[in-house]
Amino acid sequence: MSAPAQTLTARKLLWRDWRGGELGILLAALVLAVGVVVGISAFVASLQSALENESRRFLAADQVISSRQAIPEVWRDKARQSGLASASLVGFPSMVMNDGEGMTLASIKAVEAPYPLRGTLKYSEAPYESAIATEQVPTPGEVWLAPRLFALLDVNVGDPVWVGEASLTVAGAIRSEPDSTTAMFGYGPRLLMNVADLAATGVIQPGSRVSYRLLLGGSDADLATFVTWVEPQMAQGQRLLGSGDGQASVNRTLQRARAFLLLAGSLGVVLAAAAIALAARRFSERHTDYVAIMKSLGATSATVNRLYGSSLLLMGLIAGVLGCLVGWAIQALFFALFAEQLGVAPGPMGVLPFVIGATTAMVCLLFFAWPPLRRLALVSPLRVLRREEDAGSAQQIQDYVFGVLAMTGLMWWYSADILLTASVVGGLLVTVGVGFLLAKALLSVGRGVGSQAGSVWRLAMSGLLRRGNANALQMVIFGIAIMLMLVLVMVRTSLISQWQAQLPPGTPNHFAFNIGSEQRTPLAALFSDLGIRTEPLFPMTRGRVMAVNGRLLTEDRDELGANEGRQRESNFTYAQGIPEATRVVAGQWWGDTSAEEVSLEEEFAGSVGAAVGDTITLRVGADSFDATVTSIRAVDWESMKPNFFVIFPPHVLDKFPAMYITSFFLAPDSKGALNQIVRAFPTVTVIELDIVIEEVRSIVARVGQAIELVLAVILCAGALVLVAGVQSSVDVRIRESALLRALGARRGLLMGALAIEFTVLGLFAGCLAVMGAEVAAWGLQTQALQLIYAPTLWLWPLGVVSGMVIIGGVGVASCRKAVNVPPLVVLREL
Amino acid sequence: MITVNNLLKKVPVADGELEILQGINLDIKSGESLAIVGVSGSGKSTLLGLLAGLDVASGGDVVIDGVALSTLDEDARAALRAQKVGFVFQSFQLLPALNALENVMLPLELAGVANASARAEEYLERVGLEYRLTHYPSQLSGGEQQRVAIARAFASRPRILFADEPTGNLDTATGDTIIDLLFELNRSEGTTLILVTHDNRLAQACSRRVQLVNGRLETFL
Ligand SMILES: Nc1ncnc2c1ncn2[C@@H]1O[C@H](COP(=O)(O)OP(=O)(O)OP(=O)(O)O)[C@@H](O)[C@H]1O
Ligand SMILES: [Mg+2]
Repeated sequence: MSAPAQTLTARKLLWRDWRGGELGILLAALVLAVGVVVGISAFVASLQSALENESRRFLAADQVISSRQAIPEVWRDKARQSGLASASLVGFPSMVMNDGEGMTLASIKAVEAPYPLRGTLKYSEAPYESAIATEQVPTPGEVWLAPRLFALLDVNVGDPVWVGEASLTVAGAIRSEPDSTTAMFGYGPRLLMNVADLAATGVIQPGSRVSYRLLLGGSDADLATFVTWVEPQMAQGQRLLGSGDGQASVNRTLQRARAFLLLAGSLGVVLAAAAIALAARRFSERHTDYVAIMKSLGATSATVNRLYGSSLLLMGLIAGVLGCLVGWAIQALFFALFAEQLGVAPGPMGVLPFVIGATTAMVCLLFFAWPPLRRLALVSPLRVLRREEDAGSAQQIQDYVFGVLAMTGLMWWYSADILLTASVVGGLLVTVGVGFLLAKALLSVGRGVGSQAGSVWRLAMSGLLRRGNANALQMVIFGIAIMLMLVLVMVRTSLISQWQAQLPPGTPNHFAFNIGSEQRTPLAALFSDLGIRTEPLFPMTRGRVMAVNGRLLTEDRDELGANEGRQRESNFTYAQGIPEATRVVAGQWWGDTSAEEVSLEEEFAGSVGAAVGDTITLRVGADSFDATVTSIRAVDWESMKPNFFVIFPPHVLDKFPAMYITSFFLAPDSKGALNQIVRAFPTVTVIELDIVIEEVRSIVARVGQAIELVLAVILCAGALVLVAGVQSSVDVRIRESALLRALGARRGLLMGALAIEFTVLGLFAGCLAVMGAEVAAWGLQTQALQLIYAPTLWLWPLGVVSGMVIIGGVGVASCRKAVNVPPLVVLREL
Repeated sequence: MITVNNLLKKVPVADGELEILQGINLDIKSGESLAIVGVSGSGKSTLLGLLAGLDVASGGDVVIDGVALSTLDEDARAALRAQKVGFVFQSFQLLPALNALENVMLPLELAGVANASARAEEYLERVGLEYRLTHYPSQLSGGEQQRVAIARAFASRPRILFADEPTGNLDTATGDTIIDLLFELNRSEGTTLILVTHDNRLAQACSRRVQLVNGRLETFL
């Protein structure tokens, strides 16, 4: 009896049931669930590989060999043979002179085409003019200067400058280099020249501070081949730099966006799963009689199981394929949003997203669609003789438990964040538990109101009460659907506004450091003359952490053991109060202390292996001293305010000479002010971060759009749940209404009663949703996303009204048939 | 060959237990035709359901071709039904999502019969529904639905055919056709017929008649 052809008619029975509407909902919900998960994870995977490219961009190559000696020519030859693109780069600090007396320290970078291998080089024809992307590098005999150098050297385009013994012509202004943060070569402003002119300068002598780099670009496989070849030959002071050394603030922003997208996506799956469970349940209810007949005709439970199981599997396959297509489209849409402004091309996404999608489909089917269908095999053929109410509720509890566990597992898998998952699942469980009790309470209040009202109300309320448990459950399900939508809208709003608040207009986009203590007053005067608002000045002293609790830290990172700290050099500062954008996470900030205390930044403390209470030995210049770690700080580096890894109380550090640092904001059209600052204070170094900040801003804007897109998908899933939920109760209502009409009830009365019934249901569900949403939002905002929670007042009218309108509307629309079709037709179809 | 030994059926009701069948003893030989009569509510459908293995008895046993039904589980009974038993229900029990032809084909396919479609068409023709093959149950009258149900029971050519009021909804002429059909099957294929009926003509056509009174069987002439 196993040949599928034998049950062809039985299978027809299933698929013919489209009319019932559950299969459509089941399929749509499954496609949506798979689609949203595949879409988001494909997007994230592809974005991650794109980001890897991005971080390669910050190296200007896929892989870099950095060295203190010249890089052997054979390495380049080997790289070429391995099919890799390569370019050498030499960097060093050196004095640069104009034709007259003027001279200044510059950071020289000598490059050759095709520099850069990744990312883009921007230059302008004159300082502070609009920057243009270029694929050229300075031709031999020419140099590009950082805009400040024009002022410092008092030169213009076309003038000669001297680097060592070579005279080179100024051909343009260097505006942005992809690797400016990873290849600094001293603090001076940049001078970009061609490698071919290096020999003529005569600057590079044995013992001079020169960094050599070999930039490599090519496929991962070719790179790996080359790396295995070159690594054993690398000497002391030669290092391989790979991807991963990215731009922290961009990465962090995307990281948070990703957590949110995945969370939103898994909520979509929860909703879809609810719709699937509702649809499957109704499907199985309607099929109970069919199965009884089939069994009376000789079908065994194995036949029934095979029939429904294989049909479900087939459906899963169809939905899986469709879902993957939808997911692919969602992913492509996301990229359409991102690609243009970021210049991020989608990277390869791999098969993992589709594996995740297929797993999601299987979990949804196995834990949400299959349980009610599995019970069909247990239906007794006796039903054909006598309709009996089935007592299958004990098993249903089991289904709920497994369903919740499966969903939790899935969400955990998606987000890899137990706290986020727990907070969402917790919110849902609270809504279900409390919701069910509240729903029953609300219904009994409704009874009191209903019994005193007119006949339409009485009919409606008696309808609600008669199916008390079913209605309470339905209310909870509607409540969850609405709640999830509310949570999303709410979190999205606060997330985006928080991001925007993080980089408000006027965020400092330039840092000035190397400010001497005697320059503080005149510099402040110049800033105020120029109308530029600056952050406070911080003293800055270069120092080194030597030992923790008397144990000397290693110096070389190559000799580093697993959990061992290493010596770190850093800029120290002192302050009485806690700097802005800083939070003490362990220990306590000093008050008016005279003790030798020190406060460390979280990650820095980790890298040297120090905790609160430890004594660390520090060295500044030739002096060593001890201090006790009394606090560990978390620093919001994205705030662009000056901040430090190591901070002391003033009395500890003020005996050492210090330079000062500050940050300030310059609007694009007042960048010319830099000229004046640099001219007046040639020794002050200014770092321009405005381009990076713009980049982060544009990502925030794009992410906002991406989130809206996910939100739209979630809303579709939510709508499906509502339709599935209403439909599941429509059968009973239609039958009852037809009977009532046959017994003489007026159309208007029934219609009114139905409208009231569903609207009241929606009202109660809306109330539950708002309460649940507040709980979930609290959990999410305070625990997972580290935002600040505030109750949201506009949530109440939104939740309650949308509940009433949507559920009332969908309910009445679905029951239209009950009051518009002649009662005989309805009764005959049952 | 069906043997019924002291068959009991009790069901729990609001005030204790209701003994519907209180010790039924019956022997039905192969090829025999038996009519069960009795007033409404006397337990005829209950008895028929037990004989066909659709329900489990509270006591006693039904033995079909040497196999005691009490020793079989539901799936084994289903297999037995697929092999040997046809049933015409009092309330038809057609599948609303399948048309007349497909309703008849279903048990044939479940029993693994080849060319189910041709056979189903043949039997629908025999009950006079050749013009209604693609109609759905909701598009058929009560009598037409009953005839589809009869065609479905006949089509699998069961060894034993149970029919609960097979002519209950039919006019005299159609009823006669159905009676002819039943007994033709009984004659040509040796099918054992066990019928519940209020229709005297049908009862008289049977080789034996029993009456259910107070949960016990009485011979009825
Ligand atoms: N599961 C049950 N629970 C309670 N009462 C039952 C159950 N099954 C049968 N009965 C009762 O047993 C009696 C016999 O039912 P049955 O359907 O066998 O009658 P019947 O002889 O077929 O009647 P009719 O001629 O009206 O079809 C009825 O009074 C019925 O109410
Ligand atoms: Mg009966």
